[in-house]
Amino acid sequence: MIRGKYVTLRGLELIDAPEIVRRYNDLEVRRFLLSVVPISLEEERDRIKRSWELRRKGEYYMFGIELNKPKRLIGTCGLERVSHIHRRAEVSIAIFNKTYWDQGLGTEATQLLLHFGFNLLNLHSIWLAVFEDNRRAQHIYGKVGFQRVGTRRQAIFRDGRYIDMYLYDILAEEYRHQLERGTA
Amino acid sequence: MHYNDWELRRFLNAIVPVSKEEEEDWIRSTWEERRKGTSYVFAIEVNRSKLLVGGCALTGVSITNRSASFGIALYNKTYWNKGYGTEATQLMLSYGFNQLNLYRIHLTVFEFNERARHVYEKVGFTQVGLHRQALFRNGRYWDIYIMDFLAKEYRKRYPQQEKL
Repeated sequence: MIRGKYVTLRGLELIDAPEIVRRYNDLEVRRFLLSVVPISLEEERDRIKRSWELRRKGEYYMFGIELNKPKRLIGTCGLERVSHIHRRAEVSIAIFNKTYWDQGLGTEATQLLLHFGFNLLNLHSIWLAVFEDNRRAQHIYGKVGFQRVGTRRQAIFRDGRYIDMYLYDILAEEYRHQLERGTA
Repeated sequence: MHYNDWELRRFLNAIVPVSKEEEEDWIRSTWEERRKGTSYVFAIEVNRSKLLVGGCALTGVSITNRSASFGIALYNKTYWNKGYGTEATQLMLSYGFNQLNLYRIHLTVFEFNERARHVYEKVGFTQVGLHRQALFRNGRYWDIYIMDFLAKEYRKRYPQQEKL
């Protein structure tokens, strides 16, 4: 468990599945995520079980984002596609409970993920991809130290048209540098 | 065949003989470990004659600490004292630091294995400690030396990135 001031990143349990399924099947949440296909409770339970296995192998670290007060699961996040030789991983994050959007909680969760990736897993680079119209997320990534490094043009088809995906990354040295300056 | 020679085995961990089938199983297990990235075992082959003269490995790869343990044996004694072990060690160091992105490579060597200690020092390992009286061999106890090599030291000593 990685505890912050407002939220804690913790492992997912099977008992979390109903809340995750209920929230993720909301299209307003899902329109910023890769898949618009609904998920079933059983699929989600399988996905959680699979995440334990991948965590043991060190290939994927999936966390629940839990509000500290009151204790409540408000989202999920993770470091995916962990490459051991290149020491890099991809961030995925979603606050699936819309009540908790725009309160700085996603920012803190992202910072906790960076701490986990750079200070505990010894990664060299952490990257992510975000939809061009997901301004809220782009603002957060810029704030915590990511740089926009490229574009995957027309990579996503949604709402009847193609949209771009922006690529962001941050290197370990940049992360440590901003920690020293106290801006992380 | 060569591995069951006592003159070689006195420098290695196990003193019990191995059978052909055990050795085959072991070779298969190295493929699996290599896929998982937990250890990398190589054969040492002489370029001209294509003769297999030994083996070397980076084992116990720790993903988070970026460290691994080095081991080597030239089991064909005809090829001892000719610089083959030195070159094989340097090739493995390059593989470990330049390709696998390791931060630390360490090894242990028996007190009485002076030939190996000489090679390790020559290529850049530093003796950093020892396990006192950790080995019982030929009726008495011996120390086991611990040596290591850090990536930053390696890059200082071997500045041009050698191609494998």
